[in-house]
Amino acid sequence: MEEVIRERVAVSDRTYREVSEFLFREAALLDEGRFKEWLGMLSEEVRYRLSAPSLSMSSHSLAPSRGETLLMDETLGSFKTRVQQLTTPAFTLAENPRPFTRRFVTNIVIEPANGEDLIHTRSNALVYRSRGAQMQPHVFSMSRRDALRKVTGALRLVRRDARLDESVLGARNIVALW
Amino acid sequence: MLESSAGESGDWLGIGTALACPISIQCKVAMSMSVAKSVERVEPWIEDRGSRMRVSRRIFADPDIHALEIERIFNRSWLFLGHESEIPQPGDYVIRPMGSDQVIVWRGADGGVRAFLNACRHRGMALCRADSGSARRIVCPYHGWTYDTTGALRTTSFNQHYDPAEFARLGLTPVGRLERYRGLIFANWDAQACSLEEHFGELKWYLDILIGRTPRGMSAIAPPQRWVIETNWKIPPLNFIDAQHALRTHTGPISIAQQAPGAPSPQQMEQAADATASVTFPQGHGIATTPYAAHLPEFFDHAPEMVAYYKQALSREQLAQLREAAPGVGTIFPNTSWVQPFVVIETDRVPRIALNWRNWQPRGPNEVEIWSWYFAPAEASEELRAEMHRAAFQTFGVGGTLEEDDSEVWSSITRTIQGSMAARGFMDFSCGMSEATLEGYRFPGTAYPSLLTEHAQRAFLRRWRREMEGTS
Repeated sequence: MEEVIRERVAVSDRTYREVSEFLFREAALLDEGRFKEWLGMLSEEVRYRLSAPSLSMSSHSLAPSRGETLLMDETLGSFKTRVQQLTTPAFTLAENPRPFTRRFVTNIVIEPANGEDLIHTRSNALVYRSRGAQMQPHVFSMSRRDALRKVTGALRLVRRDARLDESVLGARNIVALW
Repeated sequence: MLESSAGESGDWLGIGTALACPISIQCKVAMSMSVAKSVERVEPWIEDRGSRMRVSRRIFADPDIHALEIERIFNRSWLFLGHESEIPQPGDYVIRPMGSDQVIVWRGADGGVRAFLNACRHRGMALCRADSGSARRIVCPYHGWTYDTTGALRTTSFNQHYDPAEFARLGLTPVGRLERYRGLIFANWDAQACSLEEHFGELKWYLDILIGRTPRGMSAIAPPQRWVIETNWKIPPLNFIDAQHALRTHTGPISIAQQAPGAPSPQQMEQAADATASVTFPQGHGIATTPYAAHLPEFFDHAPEMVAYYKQALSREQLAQLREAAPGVGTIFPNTSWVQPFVVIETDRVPRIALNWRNWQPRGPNEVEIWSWYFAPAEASEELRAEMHRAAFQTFGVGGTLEEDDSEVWSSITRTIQGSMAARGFMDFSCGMSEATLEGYRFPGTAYPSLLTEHAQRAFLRRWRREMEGTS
């Protein structure tokens, strides 16, 4: 289980604003399909994981999930491959034409710095996706724990652990969900 | 169609013994037969003559045909339930679909594996309402009926008002047959069904290569991925024995992989596929073997320490098959498939890849729940298992670079053929139909000269037809 969020978050307004702007800019780039620019927000050593819970029954606990199952586990190299696929019309059926997506990023919390140069954040994300009559609109809901680092004055994503809030996805794929 | 529906409900109500019938399936089969006659009258499901096979699109969308499939195929076929490694300890269970029902697959106190309908014998309440758990006894939350891992009713919790002689009658409803093969758990609702081994037939030789290539066999790396798409349940297993689409639907990831140094060109890949056998089995199973380009080192996409195990567990012939043209993609009739791709997503390295095992679970005629397991040899280190897992789900899985385009095709077909005009058409499965079998093929099964033909899909559809017509 995730630990309870600390009551006081000892970060400066400036940091909070920088992190928020980073996450909002990221969402905007993805919504607009500007995947190559989005790659520029990632650090060289980025590791991105997306998982879904698996429901289990226990007489001791009400926690719904015992096991998690990984759906994506990406590096800069694999993201570059994915972006090449998604930005070349002849290379993708799923994103051609590109579905409409709208990302809503909320509940941003920044954990106090603990000496290292990483900024640890939590956020919630809703991603709405539709493509006219060809696709059932779907809303993906997830929690995210990110680690960011300042590289030459600009924030970069170093790590993301995103967890979907559904165990059986009602969507045909998760292309460009990031 | 409307007439037949009315007739069907009339028949149903007309069966005076329906309520007394101990196994309602018998009544439902009677009902289904009348539907079968009426839908067959409209047009044949499958035309299979000379050099042409045409399949009515309605079999991929029609609710009456689908209802009949549940009775005649899912209630009578061997269905994959899961892997033993998912329930290692006594009391461990997983909930799995079996046709239109759910079963509890439960590891007994004696270490055995049993499967029961996930329904209390009292009122039909689901006994387990999650995906997995562990319990030596399961208590129905409604009135407290309690069952042990053998399915026996241990208490109603108000026993003073029950005749104890009734208890033996009120155990959980078991599946007709359950068999395990090298860790795979299969079950059949039909107690009179052939054995699992007979169902596999000569495919077993290839299954041993897939899941028995190391002495300890395979285990599941994580809980299965699950997602739902709008398509008919037969489209994905047919797609898994369709090699042509790999070169067209998957142009993107394959072209990107070909940017890697030393990778074969698109023309070389197409030639290699055309020169590789397509293998079929009379039970309706099929394999699209995966050709390796001649210049690649042998077992280049397997960890060397695992190859040492393969040499212990496999025969020389099986090793040769794995090395030359691995059984990379295939389907086990009716709704199980596998794929072990070596499409690389990061072009700077060759990953070791897990075996991706699939169930295509119908949720009505136009929806399927995909279950996707990832298996690795039990001998593999945690690190290697993680690498294999990742390399597999990056290409095949809900987030897979190849799968994302497959699901686009499958759901598009389903949407299209619901049109009144499009529904009247046929799907063509004639490719390579007049070609002779491959002479000199030295491995089991019936082989045809090219992977790019539709022999394996025809074998699947012929089995489907035999089951639906009751002629098998």
